[in-house]
Amino acid sequence: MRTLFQNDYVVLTTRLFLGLLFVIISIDKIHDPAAFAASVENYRILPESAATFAATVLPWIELLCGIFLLTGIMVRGSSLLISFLLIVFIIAILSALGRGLDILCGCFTLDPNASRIGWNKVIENIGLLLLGVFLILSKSNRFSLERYLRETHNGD
Amino acid sequence: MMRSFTIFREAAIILLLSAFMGFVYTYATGKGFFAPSASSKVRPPVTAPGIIDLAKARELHESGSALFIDSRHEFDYRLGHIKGSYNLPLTDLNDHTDYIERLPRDRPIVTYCDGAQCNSSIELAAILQSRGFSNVFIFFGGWNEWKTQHLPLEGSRQ
Repeated sequence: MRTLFQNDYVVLTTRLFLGLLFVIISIDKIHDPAAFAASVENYRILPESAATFAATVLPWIELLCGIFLLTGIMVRGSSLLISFLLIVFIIAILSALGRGLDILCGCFTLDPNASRIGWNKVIENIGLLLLGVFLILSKSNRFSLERYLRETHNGD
Repeated sequence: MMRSFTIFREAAIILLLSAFMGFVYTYATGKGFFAPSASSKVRPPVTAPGIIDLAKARELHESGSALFIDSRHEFDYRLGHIKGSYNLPLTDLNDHTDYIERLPRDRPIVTYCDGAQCNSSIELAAILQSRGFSNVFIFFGGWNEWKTQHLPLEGSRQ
């Protein structure tokens, strides 16, 4: 198990997968913050102003974390934030399911024809959360821009 | 210890950077926080057949002849709904077949959901029309518009 956390290729693959995924899902939300705010409001947890704030900042956290994971900069900080967001998403979906709300997830896309919330969304997010936690605990920083820059700097 | 401090410092940097970029972007594009406020937005009038405004919905409600059908989820219905309305969520349509079949086909029916953001009232109206109901109206302003006008309500939070 310990070697898995140190395996450069496993860590790199996880980083690239999560990074690419979060970059892709952020684009739709950044492009249309109003639609994303409406999607957040549908959960009936946050008031309108807080939903608008979340819709302004949250997609950028997803984008930056995604880019940092892809390039290998601040990997553990990005993974921590992504994991925290995923825990919030899981709680929100469970809360909505518990209240019997029949709403769009707003997770990966804002397309009104996209899938609605359900247990599959909870499982999806738990899977992604496990990957995020894996990256937090990982010990490998090979193939990362941060390590390359540090080595280049030390080499001078 | 140092490792855990670094991870929180990195997370804080990303958070600040995200907030900064989010606000700069929405300011530059006039979206999100910097979008024109909802009250100043000019909503195009909805002119689809069968769609009625608040005044007409109120008139039908006061006449007592129309059946108001709430197409929202039962959870929302229980919290509050237009007085006298019947709850018929789109997802539970099959559970209400007997009730629908007993209704006179020429009785005025008004469907509504939350408001402009939802489509279930339109979908329900279309289904009712396809089942032979000839006087189906859609109250597009829905629950949100009705409750702000202090019109007759029922429900646990009303």
